[in-house]
Amino acid sequence: MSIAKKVCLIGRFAVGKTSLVKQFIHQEFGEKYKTTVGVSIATKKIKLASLKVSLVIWDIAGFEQENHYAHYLRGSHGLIWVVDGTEPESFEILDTISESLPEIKQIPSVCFINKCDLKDEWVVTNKQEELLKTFNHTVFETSAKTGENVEKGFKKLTEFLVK
Amino acid sequence: MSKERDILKSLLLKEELQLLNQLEQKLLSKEQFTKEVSDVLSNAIKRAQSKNKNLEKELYIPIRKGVTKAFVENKQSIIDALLPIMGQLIRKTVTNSIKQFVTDINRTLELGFSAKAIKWRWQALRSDCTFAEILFQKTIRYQVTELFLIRQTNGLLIEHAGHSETAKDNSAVSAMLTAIQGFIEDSFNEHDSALQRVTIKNKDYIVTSGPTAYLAAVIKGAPTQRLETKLQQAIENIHAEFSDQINTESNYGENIEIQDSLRKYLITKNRSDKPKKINWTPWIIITLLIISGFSYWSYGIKQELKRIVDLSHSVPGLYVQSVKRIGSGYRIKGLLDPLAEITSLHKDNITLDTKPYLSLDEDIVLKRVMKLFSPYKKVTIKLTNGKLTINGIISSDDDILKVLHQLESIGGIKQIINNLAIDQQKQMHAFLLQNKLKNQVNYLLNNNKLSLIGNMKYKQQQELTRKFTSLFPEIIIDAEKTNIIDSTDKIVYKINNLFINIKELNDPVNNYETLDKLIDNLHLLINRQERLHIRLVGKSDCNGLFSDNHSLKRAETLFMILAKKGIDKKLMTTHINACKSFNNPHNQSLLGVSIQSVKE
Repeated sequence: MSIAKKVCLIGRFAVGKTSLVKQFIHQEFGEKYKTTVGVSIATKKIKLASLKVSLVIWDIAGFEQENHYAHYLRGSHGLIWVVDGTEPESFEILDTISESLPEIKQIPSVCFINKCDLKDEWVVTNKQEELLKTFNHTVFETSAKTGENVEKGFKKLTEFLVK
Repeated sequence: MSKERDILKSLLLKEELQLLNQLEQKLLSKEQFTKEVSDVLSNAIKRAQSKNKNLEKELYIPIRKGVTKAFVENKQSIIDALLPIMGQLIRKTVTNSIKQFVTDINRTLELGFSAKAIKWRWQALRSDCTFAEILFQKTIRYQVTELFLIRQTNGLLIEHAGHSETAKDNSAVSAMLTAIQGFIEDSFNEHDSALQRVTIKNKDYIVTSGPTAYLAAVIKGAPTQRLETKLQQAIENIHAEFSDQINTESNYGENIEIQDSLRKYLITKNRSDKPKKINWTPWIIITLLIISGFSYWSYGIKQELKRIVDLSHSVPGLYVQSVKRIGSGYRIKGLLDPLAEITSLHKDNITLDTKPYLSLDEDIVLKRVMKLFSPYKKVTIKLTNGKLTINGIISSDDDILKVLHQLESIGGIKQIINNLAIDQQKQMHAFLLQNKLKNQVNYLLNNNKLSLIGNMKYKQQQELTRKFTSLFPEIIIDAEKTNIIDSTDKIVYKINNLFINIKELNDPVNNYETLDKLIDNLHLLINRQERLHIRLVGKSDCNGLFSDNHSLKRAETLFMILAKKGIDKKLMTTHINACKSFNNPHNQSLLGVSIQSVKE
């Protein structure tokens, strides 16, 4: 049996959403930064026991503009919140989005604190850790560059989706 | 020390040093170095291109920048350089487009006179479309290569049909289309600003929306508006038929029924570019049918006209100059006699445009003559080939003269046979006056029966009767009231001289005149109350042994005849004139009965 699920990646500009998708699908990483315009779509099939899950991944452009992402999120089965460990401001987007779209909290989700390959430069404060706790997310420290926890994180979300 | 070393070096490496100096000069002198490099540059590039795969990549950026700069800074020279190439390209493209355009016009013109075009025109008329629309629908080639049934809410692919040629997988394409859809809605800030058509890499996507899902069709070629309508019907049908499956989330490829349903809409519209031969057969059949129909119709018209002409010619007193068909009826122009009978023309919706004239048709001449003789009831008229025969009784000579005079003015009569007679009553009166019988005999004429009243001798009565009968054959003479003044003896004498010849016993009487005389005279005597006895004596020619018997039979036969005529049987007795011998020669005049009346 197979099933298709829509998964959206949301997070601030340049936190590494597109790189995470590229790493998850192609196991590749590009040093050069290319900004995503609108949305980029990719698909990946994951096998969970006897179930084949086809993930349609919507990599939404950086969430800087108010509400421009709302229609992309419509009908999502799962969300991946992406924050940058080296950019404390990137955590604030969680609050901003959940305030403008309160129903989003009902959607199964995981949180990727990206760029764990630069952990020395991380500036994750208590305040940010507290914020993550309020969202009750399963948090993964990921690196799009090395691929650390990327597949694991996607797989965990998939498990949430088929539960 | 160094000086010595230099000397030693020059001694040992003199030639090499010279060579190094030359090389140094070549390298340091730009002009010299350029000359050297230019000699080997083309071969060096060639070799580097074959050995070093990155060369093109490395050269790409500087070359691109150089070309871009050249375009920006020296547009005119670039244009001048490209013009011969571009000009040819543009000419070729324009020529091809014109050729295609001419081909399309030719095809349309050919179709304009073909059976197919007539069929399509009929189809256009029936379906309330323009002919151009039908023409495009039938001739423009396009193909629906793929169909995506996509869930509205999240852009997930419900089902897909057709051969996928897209680089990305179908789920990604459907998500991408949904994203574009969402982007448009968001951009226009209107919910009904839905995506209807999008072109991605030369592929047209037509999008038709339903309540839960929308259908994206990948089109190759030039589709018509009708296809969009068809696709809209498709999404509506799919919603109606598979609402449960659409609302249930599952991966695509598992809804076989929806797939089958979608496949029906993978339409391919072909257009044959081969010049087709015109099929003349239907044209010939249609032409023949039209000619046959027209011939039949004109034959019917001619036949009807001929019938009307014949009918009009058959009417006596109508002279036909022309017969014309006007609407559903006919108009006859000509001359018409006032006595002509034209009622037969009215039932065929014929109107007459005629002037009066006097016809010499025999029927009309006869009518005219009959009209002249209408006051004379006892006159009959017959006209044959101009010969007029008039029979009958007319009241006076003056009247006869008058009608004969009027007949002369009637044309068409070549000969008159006048059999007219004056009234017989008047003639009879004149006859009696003429024969001086008026004072002795009176008469009464009633319904052709003339009763003679008065005294006259038997002979005179007989003579008068004979004359009347010859003059007035139709008149029956009644002598009952005539008083015969002959004497009884004379009558007895007359009776006794009568001989009733009876030749054959089976047909006894062959002389009725004599028999009538006998009976009349016998009645005269009886009426005078004379006492009589009548002996009827049978006679024969004595030719055979039974002659006496035959004589008796003859007498008895006459006895029975007279009895039937009212003569009392008591007055009559039968007798024979017996033969003395029986071998006399045969004589028919002797066979009969003689009468002997005796006054008692």
